[in-house]
Amino acid sequence: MLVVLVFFGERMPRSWFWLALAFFAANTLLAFFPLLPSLFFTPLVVAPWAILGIIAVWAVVDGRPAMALAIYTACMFVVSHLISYVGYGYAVLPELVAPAAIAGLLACGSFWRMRRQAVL
Amino acid sequence: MSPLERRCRRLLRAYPRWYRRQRGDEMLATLLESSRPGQRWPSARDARALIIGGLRVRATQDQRLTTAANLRLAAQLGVALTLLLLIVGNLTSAILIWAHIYAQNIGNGIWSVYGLLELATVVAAWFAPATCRRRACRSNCRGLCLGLLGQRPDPRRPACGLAGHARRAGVFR
Repeated sequence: MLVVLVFFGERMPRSWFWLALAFFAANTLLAFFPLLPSLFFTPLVVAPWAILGIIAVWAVVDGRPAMALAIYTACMFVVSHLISYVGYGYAVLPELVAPAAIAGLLACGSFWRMRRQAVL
Repeated sequence: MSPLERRCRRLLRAYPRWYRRQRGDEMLATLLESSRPGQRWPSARDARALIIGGLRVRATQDQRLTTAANLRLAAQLGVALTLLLLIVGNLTSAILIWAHIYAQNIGNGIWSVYGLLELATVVAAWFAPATCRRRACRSNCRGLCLGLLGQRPDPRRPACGLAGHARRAGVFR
């Protein structure tokens, strides 16, 4: 999907790279938690969510990262679970409603911001 | 430079650099002209207006693009964030297995190669030049798909980027 999107020719702003890098670093440190002292557990758990929260608040200024967050939430918490459930033949569980609602709300709000900010 | 001018310049940093280059001097002159004699700090109203104005200018940086283009950029970032989380899973499990933190052995290092290919694809989406970016992303993606399907890549087709190195190292054998 990233390859298809890259083919359209737009390049993401460099400032977004630092955001992605911070997200990557926070999640990597969290994954290496078994090697770290337990003192760092709470900050490490909170850090990725804090980054995502900052992105949601930044929607007041720029709606695009919030739309990206909605896509990320949908991919990680809705689509992947849906595929698993369908693959194993389970019914869709009510746990999916909350992330789907969050992703939908974020997408609607950020799309409204993007429409207001864009040329056309 | 007076303290007021220094503080006003600091507040003007709320605006992007290109905007400051175009209008910074004019804005600073207006701020200094409208200040009272002996004033050392910009007024709270001016400070608030400068910060909100700067954020608004930063927010309208995407005004040069259409909604569709902005949506595609947002989708790129969303997919990149999703990929990064998968990369963390692949790379850290490979490293932790290598460091004997996890007792079970779930692979022979192929996951670390997949993780690196994904990472190279994400980084290429940001930094590689347009034509090279497409080639590297396509090549890495093709190598990843063939590896996951357990097929050998076509030796007649050149592979660039990390996929090329992985192929030459015989990872997909």
